[in-house]
Order: sequence, then C-alpha cells, then structure tokens
Amino acid sequence: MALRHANGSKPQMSDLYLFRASLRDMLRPRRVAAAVLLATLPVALAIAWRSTTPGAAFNPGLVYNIMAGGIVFGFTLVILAVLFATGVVSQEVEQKTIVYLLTRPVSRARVLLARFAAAAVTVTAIVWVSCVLVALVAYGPADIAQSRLARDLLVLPIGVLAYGSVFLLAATIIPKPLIYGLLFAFGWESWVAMIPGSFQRMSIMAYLRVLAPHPQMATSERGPAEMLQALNPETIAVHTAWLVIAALIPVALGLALLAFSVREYAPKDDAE
Amino acid sequence: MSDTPSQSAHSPIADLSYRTYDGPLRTHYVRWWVIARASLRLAMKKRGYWPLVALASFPYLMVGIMLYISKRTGMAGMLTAMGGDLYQNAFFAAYSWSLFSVFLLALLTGNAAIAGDTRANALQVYLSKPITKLDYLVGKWAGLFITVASASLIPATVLYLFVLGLYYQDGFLGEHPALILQAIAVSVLPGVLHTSVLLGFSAVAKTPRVAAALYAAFYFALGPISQITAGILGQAGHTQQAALASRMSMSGILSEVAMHVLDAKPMPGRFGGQHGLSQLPEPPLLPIVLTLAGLVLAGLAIARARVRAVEVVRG
Amino acid sequence: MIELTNASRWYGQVIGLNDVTCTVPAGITALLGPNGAGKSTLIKLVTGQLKPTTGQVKVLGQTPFANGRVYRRMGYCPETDGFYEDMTGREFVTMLAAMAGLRGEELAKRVAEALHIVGMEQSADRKLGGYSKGMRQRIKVAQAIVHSPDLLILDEPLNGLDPVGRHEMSELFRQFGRQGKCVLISSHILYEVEQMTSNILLLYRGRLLAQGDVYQIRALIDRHPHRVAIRTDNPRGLAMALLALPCVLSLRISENGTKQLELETRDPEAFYSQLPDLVLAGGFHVTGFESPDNNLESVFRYLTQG
Repeated sequence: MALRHANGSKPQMSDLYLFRASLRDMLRPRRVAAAVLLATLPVALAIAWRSTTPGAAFNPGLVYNIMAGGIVFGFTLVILAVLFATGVVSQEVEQKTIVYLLTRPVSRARVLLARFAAAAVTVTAIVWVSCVLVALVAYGPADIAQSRLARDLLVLPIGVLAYGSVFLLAATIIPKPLIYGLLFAFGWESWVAMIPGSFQRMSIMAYLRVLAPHPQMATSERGPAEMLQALNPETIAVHTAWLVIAALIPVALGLALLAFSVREYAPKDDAE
Repeated sequence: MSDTPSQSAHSPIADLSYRTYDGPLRTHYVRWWVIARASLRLAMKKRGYWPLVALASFPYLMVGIMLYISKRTGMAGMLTAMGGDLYQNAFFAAYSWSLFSVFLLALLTGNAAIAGDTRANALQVYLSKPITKLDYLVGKWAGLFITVASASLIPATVLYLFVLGLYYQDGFLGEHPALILQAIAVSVLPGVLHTSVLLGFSAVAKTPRVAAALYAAFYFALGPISQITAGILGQAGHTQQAALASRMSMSGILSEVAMHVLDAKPMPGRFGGQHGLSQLPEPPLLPIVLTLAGLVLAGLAIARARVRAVEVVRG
Repeated sequence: MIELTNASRWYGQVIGLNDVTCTVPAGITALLGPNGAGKSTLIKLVTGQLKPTTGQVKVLGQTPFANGRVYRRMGYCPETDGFYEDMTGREFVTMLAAMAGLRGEELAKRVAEALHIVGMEQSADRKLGGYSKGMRQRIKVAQAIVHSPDLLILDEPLNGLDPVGRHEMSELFRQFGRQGKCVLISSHILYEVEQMTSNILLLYRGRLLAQGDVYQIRALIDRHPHRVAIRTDNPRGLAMALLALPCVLSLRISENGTKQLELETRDPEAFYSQLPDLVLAGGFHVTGFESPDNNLESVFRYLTQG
C-alpha cells in the first residue's frame, strides 16, 4: 500500500487537485442547501425555545446542552458522517467516476485519503457552524465563553473522524454501505446504550459523550431532557475514551486504506 | 442479405419474413401490475431484503414466545404492566418493535423506485409505452407497498393464528372478533406511509443513494425535533401541544395511530412505543391522523409532479 | 506491450473471459466481438480495474492492478458515461492531468492542447452536465491523451460522435499508431475500425477466436469461399470464360438489371493472378470489381456464426 506518488515524488499537486475537486464535489449547491438545513435545525429550535421561555426562566446551559449534545452530536454529526463517509467510495462507484480515479498514477490510498479529508472537512465545518450558532442563540455573544463551546469545537472533529473512519471502512468493503451505516448509527448506537452492563463501550457515541459531556438539570419529571441525560454514560474514564478513540481512528482508517488498495471497484455496466 | 425464399399468396413456402405480433393483447387494467411485479422481483433480489424481513419478523416471534410463557405461567408480565388487554398490547408491542426494521426495508427497496429510473433514463422508456403516468406511479407505489407491508402483515397474521391456536379454548375469538382486522389495518400503516413519502423523495433525487440519504435524514431528524419541541412546549406549560409534538416523528405517528386502532397500552419505559413520555397527557388523535394523511398526500403529489418523460439539461 | 497468458475471469458462475492468451503489440489493434464476448472484461483486466481469476495480465511488463507506473504511461477512455456533472470540461481534464503528474504551466498547456485536439476548446468551460453525448465522448478522449501516454486503451471511443467527429477521432488514433504507441480500440463500428487497422483481436463468448491481420484470417477461413463481384458489359461471356478456371467454384449472374457477375473461389490468389489475362484475351469491358466479404464484418460473421 504505497503512499508515495507513483514516480517517487512527495505528495503535491495531484493531492491538492484531488482534495479541492473532492471538496467542490461535496459542496455542490443542493448538498450545501441540505447541509445548511441540518446545521440550522438546532438553531431554529433554540430560537423557538428562547422565544417561548420568559427571560428569568430561560436556562442557556440547558438549552445549549440539549441542542449541542442531543442534536449536533447525537444527530447532525452522525448522519452527516454516514452520508459523506460512505459516499467517498459508493458515490464514485455509483456515478461511475471511480474508473478515472483508479487509473491514474496516484496510489489508491492517497486517492481515498484526499476524498476522505474533503468529506471530513465538510462535515466538521457544518457541525462547527451549527454548534457556534446554537451557543450564540443560547448564551448570546457576550456570555459565549461560559458555554462548553470551546471543548465541543475540539471534540466535534474527533467525532467526525471516529465515525467517518468507521463508515469509510464499511464503504470500502460493503457494496451498499448506507443502509448498514444507518443501522449502526441509529440502531446499534441507540440500542446498545439501553443494554445494561458494559455494552455501551461498543458504541462510539458513548466515548464522545465522555469527552464532551452535556449534562442536563436533574428533574423529577421524565421528559426529553431526562431521556437525553440517560444517553450520557458516566462509567467510562476520560483517559479510556481518549485512548479508544485515538486507537479507533487510525485502525479503521488504516484498514479502509488497505481494503481500498487491494479490492476491485469496477462500476457495473447496468444501472442497478 | 436474406436467404428467405420469395413468397407469393399461393406459394407452398410459408412466409418466413418478419411479422408483427398478432396475438392477444391484455387489457389496460393490468398495466400498473406489470410495473408493480417488476418492482417486487427487483426488491426480493436485493441482498439485504431477506435479512431485513427476518429482522422485522423477529419482534412478532418474541411476542409469540412471551404470550406462550404467559399462557404457561399465568403471568402477563410487561405486556400488561400499563393495563389494557393482553392480546392487543402484544400486537402493539410487536408492531412498534418492528418499525425500525420496516423503515430500513423500505429504504433498501424503495430508494431506487423512481430515482433508479431517472438515473438510467428509463423514465423515457416507460412513458413512451402505451401507459399513463398514473399507471407508472400506481405500479411503483403498489410494488413498494406490497414489499414493505408484507414484512409486517405476514408475521402479524402468523402471530394471530398462533394466538388463536393458543387461546382459542379460552374464548379468544369471541372476546376479540375484530382483532385480526385491527392487526391487518395496523400492519399496512407503515407500508402506506413509507411508500408514499419515499416515492416523493425518490422522485426528487437524481440517484437512489441521494434518495435514501434524504429520506433517512428526514426520518431521523423528525425524532429529536419532535422530542425537543415537546420539551420546549412542556416547559412553557403547553402540555397538550407538547404531547402532540412528542408524537410528531414518523415512528411516533405510526405508533400513536396503531395504539388507537388496537386500543392498546404500551409497555413501560423505553421499551414502550411512547419513548417514556408517560407524564404527558394523551394527545388528540385527529391532528396525528391528519399529519399522516398529509405526509402521504405530499409524497404522492411530489412524485406525480416530478415524474416527467423529458430529460431537462441545464448549462 | 500488453500480454495476456491464460487469463480467465469469472463473475460468480459466469465466465467473462476464458483462458485467453494473446499479445497486443505497438500500433492499432481492434478488439472485436459481439455483446457478451468479453471485450469489457478484457479491457478492465488490462486497465487494472479487475484482477484475473487465473492466469496473468501484463502491461508494459508489469501487473496493471493498482500500479501507478503502468498508469503513468497509459491513457484510458472508458465506455461508461460517468462524469462529475458540475465540473466544466476543462476542470475535469485538468484534474485528471494533475493526477497524471502534470503541473504548473505544463499542465495548462497540455490541457489546452488536448482540448484542441479533440475539438472542445470552445465548449471546455461549460459544465459537463450540459454536454451532448458526442461532447462527453470527446472529453473522455481528451483526458486519456492529455499526459501523452504510450499506451491508449479506448473502449467504444466513437460512440455518439457524428461522422465528421468519427473521422477526426479515427485520424487521431491512426496518428498515435504511426507514432509507435500501442492503441487498443474496442468498437462495434466495424467499417470505421477497418479504416484504422487490419490488426484484430476477436473475442466470442469469452474466448479468443482469432488474432492477427484480418486478411490473413480471412484467407484461412476455408469453409467460406471468397466471393468476388465483377461488373461488366458481358457477364455471360465472362462467366463462360471463367468456368474454365479450376479455382472458380460457382458463378451467379445478377438478374436485377445490373450487369454483374458474382463468383466464389477457394483460391483468391490464383484467381486474381489469372483474371487479368482472361479479361484481356476475351476483350471484356470490366467497369467494377470488389470482394464483398473480404472485410472485417464478414470475418466477424463467419467466425462467430459459422
């Protein structure tokens, strides 16, 4: 699995061109519109919450934690990681452009890395914007430093890489990875948290919630806040979470690069 | 260059040249069924089809086991923890646990319903045949509906027959004469909703993958939106509206309508169909039914508007 | 330049290519065969998109799969119509040229040259999504030639082109062949391919049916005698004279008004050497002469249909 250019030179123009072209592909107008919609979803809800709550009763920390923790981390990050990371390979195969990428004197690993980097940058930008806007709505510009925004901005790209690398690996070995990615992201990740014991350690979100906890106020009522609070495990140590995520990303990415370097990706001649 | 001998009206050599088909032509009533049948065949060939069907059937198996244990031990357990009738609660539990699998099945088999034809330029081929756009849409809808609904309907029917066999001598049939109809009505609900909405997304998207992505994002986004909106409204003291908002996800709508049709009570906690929101009052059914109908009609309207026989090239 | 040694490729239970051994030298070679013959499979093996199930494939002495050294010297024009629809033609060719190792001023220069060669410089800045089929085909060829490869693999390169375009592309490929490059063309348009080359690789049902010069192959197909059509003012007289030649198997005089004589011979060399003397001796006036089945299409038909 060579990471050098085919003529022995270091990564240069071809990588940049491929990265830029991939980034442009990711940021097509329709995609940007859909991404903006997703990014502003928690912002709209935060605005609605703020406007329906009288001044003194409004709790910016609660609002931020629920929107950032529940929607940005729990939904936007995950679904964008599924869509973009699986699309790195499967979209190229589906639109039959993979043929051009694989018959160039650029190693397959480098091609995959460039496209994955573009996907990761795109998703990170979207979730960052979402998180910043939520913080601004919840806290206002003056008090934004009181929020957990800085920590979230650090952990979000880690989450993008963690989920992205896993879904990228799925995309390199499974023909139609989107369904399986969704099953993992919204089936497994949800159900495993409900199983008592250590099963939650098999969930990526469990580790991310340790790195970026979003605690809500304890209430006697069983409402959505309580439900979301239940998703924050407290039994995994922070250093364990860092170790696991730090190991997961290179392992999943490395396996994806290896798989992409040795497997065949010839598009089918038929439409389906 | 042809080797066929020349023929005349009185030639002993038969006319071996090309002839148009002069056999019987079927009536126009089955045009949509041709398309539906083709969709069904395609769906059943997909790799994930049978595993997802098995996954969707598994809850019914589990509930059957729970009912069997209940019969043996005389204890209904979690099925009647919130009150209500054992059998109705059982069907509701199996139904609500299978909703996610049915969604995935719909996504797998339905994303390419129209988007696949768009990508392959097959729409022009379809609509150049002597069929109407309505035939095409009805055929696509029927094919997808049968695929999705059967994943709920067949296991529900099997469960009903099992329950009938298990509890017949306890007067089950006399006490629940309409349960089979309720179970059937409820089983087809996910098929109706997923088919209609997914058809709309498939008509909008250029490729099956984009259609699947759009529908998945829509499906999963509604969950947290509804929950958080309910929380916002609840905190503001609008409990009725909060209760209504909390049901306004795809699975929430399906669960709520099914619960009313079956007159069932969900199991407690996260294992119920109500996502643990037992403190909120029961919302009115009419807005939920109207939302369901609205989603169905919107999906169909979008599909109807987007299906065109011409390819529009821009730039 | 390209060598296949007992190469086979299966797709599950279906054999795409069955024990093919062949060599493609420098110059133009036409890859022919009916649908399902294995042409696309062979091309995918040669371009490194697939690996052979058994046997070996070597391009420029190396295994092509994921081999940058091979791709550096190879240009590939696929048959599939897949593009980044939001890119312009220039951007598309530039990206692929950059991936081929070109950079800076050389990159821009080569891209402009490639676009000029395929006749797309006027439309290069429009989006690919708005191109006609012929324009898309030209862009595909442009990206294949932009880095001046030694080896060109062209899968149905004339698809969608108008007659003028086909002529221009054919001339381009002939030029490449004259320069000593190896050009492998898969095409269904036999009469166009015939204008470019007489060197063929004929596949049928996954097997190699014939390889080499089409006229040599034709000469070897004994079970189909050569047909010759002669237009003359005295077909019956010429027919009587030709009957004396032992190499003439059959004669047929056209009855549709044209003064044409069709004959079959198993030894075209002997026939052609004796015909001029016979025509002169009899004083026949010959106005036209052709061999209807001494061409690629007939070879194709005789070999595939028997």
